[in-house]
Amino acid sequence: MQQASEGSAQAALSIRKLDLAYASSRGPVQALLQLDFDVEAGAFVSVLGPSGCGKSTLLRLACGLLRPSGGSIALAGRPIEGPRPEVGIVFQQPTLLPWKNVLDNVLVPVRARGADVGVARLRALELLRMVKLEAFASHYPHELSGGMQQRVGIARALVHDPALLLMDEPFAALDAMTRENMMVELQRIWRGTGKSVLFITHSIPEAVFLSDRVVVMSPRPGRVVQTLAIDLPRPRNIETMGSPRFAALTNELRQVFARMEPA
Amino acid sequence: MNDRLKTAAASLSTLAILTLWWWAMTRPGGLDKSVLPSPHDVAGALHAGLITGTLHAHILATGKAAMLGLTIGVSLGVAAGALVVLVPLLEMFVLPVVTAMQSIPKVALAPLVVAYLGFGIASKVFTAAMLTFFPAFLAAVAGLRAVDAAHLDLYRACAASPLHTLWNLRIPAAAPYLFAALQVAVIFSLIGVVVSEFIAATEGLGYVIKARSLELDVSMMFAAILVLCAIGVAAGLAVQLLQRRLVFWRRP
Amino acid sequence: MSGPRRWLPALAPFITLGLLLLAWWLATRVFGAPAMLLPDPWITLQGLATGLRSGEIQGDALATLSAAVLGYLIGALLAFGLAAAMAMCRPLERMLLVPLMAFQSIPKVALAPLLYLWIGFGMQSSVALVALACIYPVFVNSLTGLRAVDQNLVDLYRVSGAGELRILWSVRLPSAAPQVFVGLEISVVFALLAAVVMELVAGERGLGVRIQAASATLDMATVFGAVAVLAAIGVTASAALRWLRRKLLFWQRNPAAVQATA
Repeated sequence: MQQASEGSAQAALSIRKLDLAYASSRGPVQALLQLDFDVEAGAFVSVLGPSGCGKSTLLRLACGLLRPSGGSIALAGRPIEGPRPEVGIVFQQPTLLPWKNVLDNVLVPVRARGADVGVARLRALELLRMVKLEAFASHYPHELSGGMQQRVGIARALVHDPALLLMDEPFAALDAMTRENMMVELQRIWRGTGKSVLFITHSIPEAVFLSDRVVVMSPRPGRVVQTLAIDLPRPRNIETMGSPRFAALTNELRQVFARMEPA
Repeated sequence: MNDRLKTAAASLSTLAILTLWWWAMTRPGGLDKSVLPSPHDVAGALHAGLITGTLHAHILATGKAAMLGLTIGVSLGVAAGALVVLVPLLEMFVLPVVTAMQSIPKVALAPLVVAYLGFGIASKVFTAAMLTFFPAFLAAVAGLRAVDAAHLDLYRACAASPLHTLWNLRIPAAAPYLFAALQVAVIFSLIGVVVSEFIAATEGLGYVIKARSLELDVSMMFAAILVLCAIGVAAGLAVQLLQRRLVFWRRP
Repeated sequence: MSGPRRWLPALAPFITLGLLLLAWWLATRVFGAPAMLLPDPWITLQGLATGLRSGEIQGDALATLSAAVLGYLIGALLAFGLAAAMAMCRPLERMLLVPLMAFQSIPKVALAPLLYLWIGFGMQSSVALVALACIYPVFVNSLTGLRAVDQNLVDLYRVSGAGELRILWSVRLPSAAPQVFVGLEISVVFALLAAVVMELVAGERGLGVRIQAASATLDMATVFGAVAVLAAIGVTASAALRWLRRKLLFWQRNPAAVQATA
């Protein structure tokens, strides 16, 4: 497990007393309340919570697409005030552009930022190799399965070499067996890149399998209810999911959920 | 497959019945050729027009004007639509007005256009452009706005400029809408040119229809109408083919 | 939300119209655009007032409108009847669908001189052209709507012993109504278009005739006035139909239009 040592680089993502409120037709709504946690450099942190707890709002704040109403959210020490190149995002739906082939889809963030495509091209091919899709570089999204499309999405999120990877329930749209495969794949990819990851999910086993730490959020207004360190040794595999320690951790999280007030 | 065959057979039999009825009505002793020409007369007129070539210049005149009018009208419409989408403030000022203008028969301005621009191709092109601008504009706005929200988020998270987003995301996403509007625009441009030719022209298929009507040459009128039909259908098919090639990711 | 933000969207189009009127006034009064190009707004208004007082404009408007309305009703009823018959009788549909599509490919305006030749001067030819123009949009949308009826619902009624006519009335018609209405709304535009075109080709009276006569003498004020009246008719007719749809079909959201071209 990649442990951030004492006195090392600042936490990749630092969230302090984060508030987000917005106006709706029924009056002001508090989406997030005094949220407070870190994602250390190179760590894999999951945010686990029921629907409507503000997980997606949190992600949009981390992307720079929303501004906080109070508190702060900072990346590598600097507050996030707009989209930052150090952030890559993987959505729930692969959201590949249907009129571009796989390689061009991976290069979308590069072109959007106006960066040099030539250099990025090599990197994109390297990433496709990493997600085992290099043979499909000139294929089109509609020729790929959901799992494959999502892997392209991951490659795309990494193409501009971000320090922080945001993932919004990336496997929710996939069937159960593909999900399990993708979990193992994602761990392999992450361990190869050393990025920090903020992973949103509502699946307890997924969170336990993938993360160094799990942050449990309450229903709206979203608050941190509990943080659980996952001390399972890496690399984790399917057998790990059958281990007693795994069961104990998932049970603990289930109890946290059971104790939560419904939204 | 069987269903298709049945439909083909049924359609052919209907057409056969209609043709037979037509032929029967126009036999000697039946309707006069200045009221309803016989299939033979129309065939003769088509032959004179297409093979011998009396209609060639007119076909070219109408076709050229329609193409020009279509190109100008649609280009301006899409450009204006793109502008309105890029500048959200414009949208609430301009869109309702243009939408309301859709209900106004702009052909009514054709005589005015002819009065200004004269008998030549200019008034035909202007009328056609005027008619095609509006559906193109509205389709452009609808299409450019109908982008997947997740795609928009992706581009915004990459700090893409609005222009880059327009070119790389909105326009391809709008393609299906634009092609649908193009189908409509093709017909409108033909309408515009033909009406302009009715009012005042020296050549063109509309001119032929009008001029021949004054001489009770109904056969040639039919021939010209059929040729117009063919142009419309051909143009529609061309758009469909283009759509299938360019919008390859959507199975229509 | 702050004050202006709420009412601005509703007011915006009127602001646009106001700005256009202002631009028109400025162009003629301040920048001196030639009367041949752009008439003076005041003179246009006066011309309109005179026309209204003498009843000429109303007469013309009524002529155009009645031709359009009559043709619209005839065309729409014919089209709907055809669609209903074809929806219920598959063999009929097979026989008529392709010929109807072929009919659709004829630009109806091209038929105007022919109709004039056959039917002659007067409102009848306008009504005929309008009816022809309205048939296909209403037909194709009605057919789509009638075909798309939820078969489960029909089966439910059938199992309960309902006859075909009852099913038509209680299930097919309400279910198809939104799509039918879309066709009706599209046809309003085509109806006015056809009425005006027929007048331009060979009308004895109507707004189209008025515009043509005034254009020939570059009497811009009359042209603008007549166009304004025509615009008002068009906008009102479309709005009226939309209102009617909302009232009758309060439960339904707008279905997508089956694009038909006259």
